[in-house]
Formats: sequence, C-alpha cells, structure tokens
Amino acid sequence: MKKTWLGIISAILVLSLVACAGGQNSGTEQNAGTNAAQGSGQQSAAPSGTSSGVVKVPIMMRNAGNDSQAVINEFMVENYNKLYEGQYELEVEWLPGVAEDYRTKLKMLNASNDLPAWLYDLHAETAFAELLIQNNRLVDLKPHFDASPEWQRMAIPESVEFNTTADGKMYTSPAVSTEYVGIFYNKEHFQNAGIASFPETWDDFWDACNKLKAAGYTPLSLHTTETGWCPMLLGTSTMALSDEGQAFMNQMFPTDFNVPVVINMLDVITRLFTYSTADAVGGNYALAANNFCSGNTSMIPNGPWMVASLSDPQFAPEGFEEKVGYAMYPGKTMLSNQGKIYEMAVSVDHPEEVQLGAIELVKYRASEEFIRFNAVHAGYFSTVVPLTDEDMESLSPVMREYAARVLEIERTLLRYQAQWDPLTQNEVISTELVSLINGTITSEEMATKMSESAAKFATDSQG
Amino acid sequence: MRAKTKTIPLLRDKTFAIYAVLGYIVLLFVLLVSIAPLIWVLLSSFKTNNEILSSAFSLPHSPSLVGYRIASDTANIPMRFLTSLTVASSTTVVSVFIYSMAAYVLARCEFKLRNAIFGLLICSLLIPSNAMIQPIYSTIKALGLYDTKFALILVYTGFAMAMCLFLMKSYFQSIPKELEEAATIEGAGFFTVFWKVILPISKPALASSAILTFINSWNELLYALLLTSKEVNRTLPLTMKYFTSMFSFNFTPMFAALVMCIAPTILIYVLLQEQIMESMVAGSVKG
Amino acid sequence: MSKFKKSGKNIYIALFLTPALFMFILIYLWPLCLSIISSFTSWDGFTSMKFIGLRNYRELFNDSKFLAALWNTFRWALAAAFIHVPFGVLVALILSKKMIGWRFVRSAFMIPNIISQSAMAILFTFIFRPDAGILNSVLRVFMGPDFNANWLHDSKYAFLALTQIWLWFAAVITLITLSEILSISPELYEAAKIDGANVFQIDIFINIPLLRNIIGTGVIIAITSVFKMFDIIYMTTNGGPGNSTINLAVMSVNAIIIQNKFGYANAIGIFLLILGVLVMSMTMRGFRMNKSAMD
Repeated sequence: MKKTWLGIISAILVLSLVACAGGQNSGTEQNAGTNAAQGSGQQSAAPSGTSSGVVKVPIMMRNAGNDSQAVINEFMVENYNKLYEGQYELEVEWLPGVAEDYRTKLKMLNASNDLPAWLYDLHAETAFAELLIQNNRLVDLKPHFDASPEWQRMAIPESVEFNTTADGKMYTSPAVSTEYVGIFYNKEHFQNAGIASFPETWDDFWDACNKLKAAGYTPLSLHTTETGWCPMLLGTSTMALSDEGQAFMNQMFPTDFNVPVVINMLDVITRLFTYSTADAVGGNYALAANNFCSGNTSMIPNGPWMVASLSDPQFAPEGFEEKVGYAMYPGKTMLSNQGKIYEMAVSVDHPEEVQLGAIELVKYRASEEFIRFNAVHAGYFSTVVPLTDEDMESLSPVMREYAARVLEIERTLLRYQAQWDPLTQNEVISTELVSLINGTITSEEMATKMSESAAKFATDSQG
Repeated sequence: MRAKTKTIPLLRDKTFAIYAVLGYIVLLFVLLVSIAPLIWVLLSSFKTNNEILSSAFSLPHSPSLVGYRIASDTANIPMRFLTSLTVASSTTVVSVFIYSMAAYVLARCEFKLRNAIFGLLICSLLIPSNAMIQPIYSTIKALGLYDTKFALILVYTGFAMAMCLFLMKSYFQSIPKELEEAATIEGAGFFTVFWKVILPISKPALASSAILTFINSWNELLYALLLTSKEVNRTLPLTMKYFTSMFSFNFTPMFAALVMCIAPTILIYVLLQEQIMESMVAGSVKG
Repeated sequence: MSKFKKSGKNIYIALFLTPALFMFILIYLWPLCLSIISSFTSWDGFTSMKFIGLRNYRELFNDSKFLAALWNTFRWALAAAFIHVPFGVLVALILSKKMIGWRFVRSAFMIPNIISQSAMAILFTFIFRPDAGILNSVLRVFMGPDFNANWLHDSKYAFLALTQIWLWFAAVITLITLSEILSISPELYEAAKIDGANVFQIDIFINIPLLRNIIGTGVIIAITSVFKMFDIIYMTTNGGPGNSTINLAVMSVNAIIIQNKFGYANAIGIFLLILGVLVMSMTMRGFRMNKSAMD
C-alpha cells in the first residue's frame, strides 16, 4: 500500500518538474484567444529591462471579456509595438477578473511603489486618482504636452483645463474623445406594443413601459450590484432637465444628497424597477445584459461599448442586432463626461526611459489612428477627427444609429461614476438600492444614507 | 480487508436496523446537497447562456462543447493545469513534511515555551488572508520571488500551517507513549522514532492534512492573481475569472472552466482517499 | 525521555521547529507587525503613515456597520459550532459503520469543498435567483405558481440564505473525524458489545468521548473560517441588503479597496485576531484539548 501511495506522490512530483521545465521553455507561449497577449511573450524577468536596446514598458490591463474594450486593447498593443519597434515594447499583464481585482492589485502595487508604467481608466475611481496626484506618484505630462502640437490639437479644451492642476502641472492626460450614454431598445418589441418611436418625454416613457407590459414584455433590464449603473444612468438623466439637477451633477464629490432632484431621481429609480425582471433586485449587470440580449426585456440603459455583444453569437441569437435601436433618454438627453475626467497617467516608479515609453503610449492614444479606431469600435467621438464616409460604412448598424443620435443631443449631463465618492457608490448604492426597491427604506432615507457616507468619505480623506 | 469484517459485528445488532434507516436518511441528504450542485454545473456547461438563465432544470436543448472550446481558446488550459499541479503538490509535500516535524515536537516533547509557540503558530488560523495582501506582497517582492511559482508555494505553505499543525498534533498526542518508549529501548534515535514509528502510524492525519492542503492551494484565487503576472505562472482556477468579469457575462464557458478546474481535484481526492483508507486498516492502534 | 541526552534532544527540538517557525515569521509575523503598527495610523496606502493612536479602534465601535458585522459573526459562529460541526461529526459516525455505499457518499460529500468558495457562491446565486432559480422553482410546486422570494436580497431572508451556502458542507469536519474514528481499535467495540451496548450507545459513550480532541479542533476550524468568510459574501450580497450579511472580513477588505483606509482595515483585522484568540482558548479549555485523549 505504501508503495502505491509513494508512487502517486512521486508521479505528481515528476509531473511538476516537467511542468517547471516546460514553463521555462514556453516563454513564447501565448493565450491564443481574443485576448492574445502578443506583447507579453517575452520572458524577461526584469520589468523594465533594457536588453538589446529595446525599452520594455510594463503595463497592466483588464481582460475585458467580450466587449469592445478587448478589441481596442489588442489593437493598441499591436500597433504601439509596431510603431516603436526596436525602441519601446509594451509588456502587458492581462488581468482577468472584475474591476475590483484590478483596483486591488493596483493599490497593492502602489503601496510598494511598484505601479505599472502606464495607468488607464482612472475615472473608474476618481478618489484614487486624486490620491495619486496628491502624493506625487505621477509624472508631469505638461512639458510633453506643450512640446507636441499634434497632441494639443486633439485634446478637448475642457479636459485640458480639468486635468491641469492649480500650479500648472498635468499629472493626468486630457481626454481626446467622448462617449455618450443612452439606451438600447428592442425595436421589434416596441413595434408589437404599438409604440411608433422611442419616447421623448418622461410621461411618454412611462406610457411606453405600460404598453410594453400590456403586450407581454418586461420593459427594462436593470440591476443593483456594481453600483447599479443601468438604473442609475437612466435615473440620473432626469437631473439633466433642471438647472438644479445640472448644478448638482457638476459638483465633484457632493456631500448633500437630501435635495429634491436626488429624491426625485430615487423615486424614478424605484418606479423603474416595477417595470423590470424579478432578478434585477440583487442582480448584476451580467443578468441584465443577458435578459436584454435574449429578448426577455425591451430596453437596457448602457453605453455604446455594449454594441459588440449584440452581434456575438454567444450572447444574442442570430439577427438580434438588427432589431436593436439606440435612443437618447427622455428630454433628448445623453450622459457624457465632457472630458471632465481623469483618464491616463504615467507613474514615477520606473526609470526615465520607461516613463518616456509610457508617455509615448499616452500620445499614441491621442493619435488620429487610435482615435478613429476607438470611435468606430467603442463610440468615443472626437470633434477634431470626424468620421470619414469610409468609417461610417464600417460602423455596425447600431453604432451608426448611435452616431446619428449623438448629433441630435439637446442636453448632456455628467456621469455619476466620475462625480460621486466611491463610498457612496460602492457601499450605499450597491447594498441599499435593494432596500429602497423593496420598500424597506424611503427615498428620503436613502438620500440621508448617501449624505452620511459622502460626509464620512469627506472626513476620512482629510485624514 | 480482513479488518472489515471485524468492524461490522454490529450489523447483527437489532437496534442497528433503526440506526441504518436513520443513517441512510442523513446520507441521502448529504448526497443531495453534494451531488446536485455538481450535476447542475455539469449540465450548465453544455447549455447556452439563455438556457442557463431562463430555466433552472431544463436539459440542454442541443448539448454543445462550445463552452469548453471558448474556455480552452481563452487560456492555455494544459499549461495552467501543470502550473496548478506544480504549485498545489509542492505545497502539499512541503507542508506535510515540515509541519509534521513541528507538530511532533509540540505534541511529544517537554520544553520551555512549548504552549506559547503552539499558541503563536495556531494564531495563523485567525489572520484573514484577504487583509494581508500588502505585507505579503512586499515580502515576496523583497525576496525577488514576485511572479514565480515559488511565491505561490511559499504563501500557500504558510496558509496550510494552522490546519496541518492542528490535525497532526492532536493525532500525535493520541498515540500511546509506549510505542516510542519501546523503540527507544531498542536503540532508535530521535529522528528514527519520528520517521519509522510515528509517521507510519499517523497516516490518517498526514493524509487529511495533505488532502486539505492540496485542495486549498488548488482553489486559491486572490494571491494567485496578485502575486503573478505572466501567463506561465497563472493557475487553472483563474481561468474562471475571464468569464466572471463585470462587463462579460458568458456563463457557459465559465461553467466549462469550472468543470475543467474541479475534475482533476476530484480525481486526485478519490485516488488519494482510497489509498489512505486502505493503509489505515492496519493502523488502528488507538483505544 | 530518559534515553535521550538532554542537550541532544534540544537540538532536535530546535531542528524540527525551525522550518515551521521560519514560515510563520515570513508569512505571518511580519505582516502581523505591519498590521498592528498601521492599525494605529491613518495609512491610506501611500507613503505617509500618520500616527493617530487609538482613533481607528474608537471609530470601529461607533460604526454601525461594525456592530452589525459583529452580531452577524456571532450568530454565524454559533451556527458553525452547534450545527455545522455536529452535522459533520454525525455524518462521520454514520459513515464509520461502513454501510453499503459509504465510500461513495464519503467522496461525494467532499465535492462541494473541492469546488472553491467563490464558485459555490456563484452557484448559489443561481439557486436563490427569484424568477428562474432552482429553489423557487421547487417551492412553486408546493406553494403555488405565484410564490416568489428574493432569498439573497430580501433583508428578511438574506442572512439565512447566505448561511445555507456553507452550513451543510461539513466535509472537512467529516474527513478529520472519520479518519480518527477509523483508527479506534475494534476491540473496544467488541468489548462494549459483550457488555450489551447497542450501536447508539457505542457512538455516544465510546466514540464521541474519544473524539473530544478532534471535535474541538473541528469547532476551532469551523469558527475561524466563519470569522474569515469572504468569497461567499463578496460574490453574493457584498454585505447587503443594508448590513444584514456583512462580516468583519468583508468590511476590512472593502475599507481598502473602496476607501483606501489601510489603517482602519488593519484595525478590523487585529480586532478579529483578538476575538479569535479568545474564542479559540475558550474552545480549547471547553474541550480540554491540551490533555491527550487517554487522560
């Protein structure tokens, strides 16, 4: 008996050794799928080695799964490496998992001064971006920006202003294009329910919801986890209609949510959930998106980045994309950050030549080639680089409709994700939205909880 | 096998019939809660997203291997399997070896600070690993082990400490002292007693420790993600994460990845378990 | 002891303990020191570590979330000690009779523990889903087609529903108990049988007392894993609705990844540690675990 037992252990050990040896030789091994990491093939242990004259620029990106972000990331890595061949090379760590995993790892690396050379999507957590700036963790991009007329031409002026600090430094890169967030809807459902076009006022919107319900459809795909962004986007859009609302959303880290516009928004959100699926309460975005793509629901408020999923056979039945339209929120409103966000930055944790490589990456993302690609695939539009007819041709039908809607916008509103503090978003909304919808707490109580957490965040960040 | 008849003389007991009925009711419940989830996962890995979401019980309409194909296209499954196997089995061997030594000394030898040392080591059971990310990372980094399999082996060996010590110490304590004394009289040294007398009769405890260590290291996700960055050092269970990320909602390959990830562990468990149980029949020394 | 030279033995003791102590220092002691130090600071993950004395700890006891987490942890610990562990021991006792099919059940019971906790959590979100969830589908057969309950996200049920994700999966307890029972000498049972004991009496009067040590170990393992329970909560309710399923581990991690409050998070961790030491020493005393089974 003992022998068999030992046999198994030694077999495992032999296998392990093989694995180790295999691992060493498989440096050029790559994940063959959509997220193929061509750039990370090199087995260099030193993150910023300068062997053979090529400067390795270590960066970290989320594996975004099936949305347009994956296509864009891949395009970026491939083209940057081609453009700077022999000079710079991106060394990508692909991080599978949710945004929390990315943040956790980023914070872990940061606390040991090991940030990746290039940081992106900083607007996902404005508060963290501000800490990075305050603690001198980022490279000042201003001299490079001033030295590049091309970059200046592309940058959105409001964004340049937003990303320039009081003492004239630029630690975060200005945005060069903007996306607009509206709502996807199922034209077939609307037609069958006798609704001619997407409603332009809130009264018509509720009317349409009732009609859809009467026709046997569940009107809305919503969710409450992950800061409940689908209902929150649609809900906050009500604030675009009033000056008070606009003023409220223009605040960075508001601390008083006990205002009529917010109470009204929360009432609207509560009402929205009466038109949604039962699993929306406590559900995540994945469920909501799946319900829409399977034709179980008629609308989902979401950004244009979702377009890629609509034609993916894994998520939507064939021909589904043709049934989908893109609309503005009632009041001809779309949400947009108008460039008033932190986007990319270069960390100080690497030698100067690596920093320069990372700055080139920031500049590459402000190049016409990249802006055009980003517009076609993710709906980020630039006023400097208009889409050519050829680009328009290559747009998917939904994306073309999105582009048309953008031209008709009458009101825009900043997005709550970049404006509100992380505590309110992640703790209060993610756990209390459920109670609000279940009727355990009222809109006023919810607003009070939001105010409390915002105040707590404010005192905490003062130390 | 001979011992088997020895352990069930109770079968002839009248009350045993009642015991058996009640016992089977409990075991049936156990089977239900254990197998049902597995079957559901297995079925789901052959369904489409829509089928998974729309109905709980339905069988897959047209069972397909698409999920498995996507999962194995996304990540190099064989390579990840070997990485996981290397990490989990090395952790297991190292842990059982070093902690059995420590547990033996703590269980059997009288020395100053014995209880203090045991208490200290056991405290490791209480330290939440999720809250130690930062210091552990800086340690691993300082040792130059970031993004290596050794880092994971080291950390998982640490995580296995309390469980192994607990199981082995309480087992060693219950071995009659006469056994060691007899061996000592025959002239066996300290190490020989441990290696030739204690370890062979402690297989149940060693095996339990080994199984639990293996499973825990195999399943660990957080540190596997945080302490590695190259594809060669990513473990198999991380594959699941590709399909659970926020913007992605592909359940079919997620369940397929889950099946591919747990199948080897179940196999290894069943194999080891059989070995252990066989070898244990001869080892009943207590009482 | 008499046969060993005292000094020679001490060298062996040191030799045998060194690797484990080395691991402890590397993986636990240094992080622990850092945690303790930073729990007295307002460290936000950036370079400055400002000393603020006991403020983090004072803040803890004024945090309604903390009190809710403590209360939940307490209830879960009770469930672990009085349901989870006894259930695992019960299954081990039944399995030890080696009735037909016992090997299969033994292996099957381990499967949910082989599946990682985060995967179990995902699985249970499908079981507890309100519309097409497995549980509601079954209940509708008995309660009528209109029955609906959002198990994980209705504050009435959330705590209970979350408990079900781990409560019955006691295979670890069963595994360690079973291997202990199987090493009990059959002669004991023979003797008891001759004295006229039936199978129930054998379990209660012979097996359970002999298992005292391992049951104590099981209680400690179960309670501490409840203290540290993270993935199950994080992947299902993240503590909600309200604070009805929050615990200290989730609170501590969220303090870092949402608020950058490393110092506060570590204060929670240290509190958890102190609480754990108390519970552990109480359990060890309760089960008289430092005495060997023979005493």
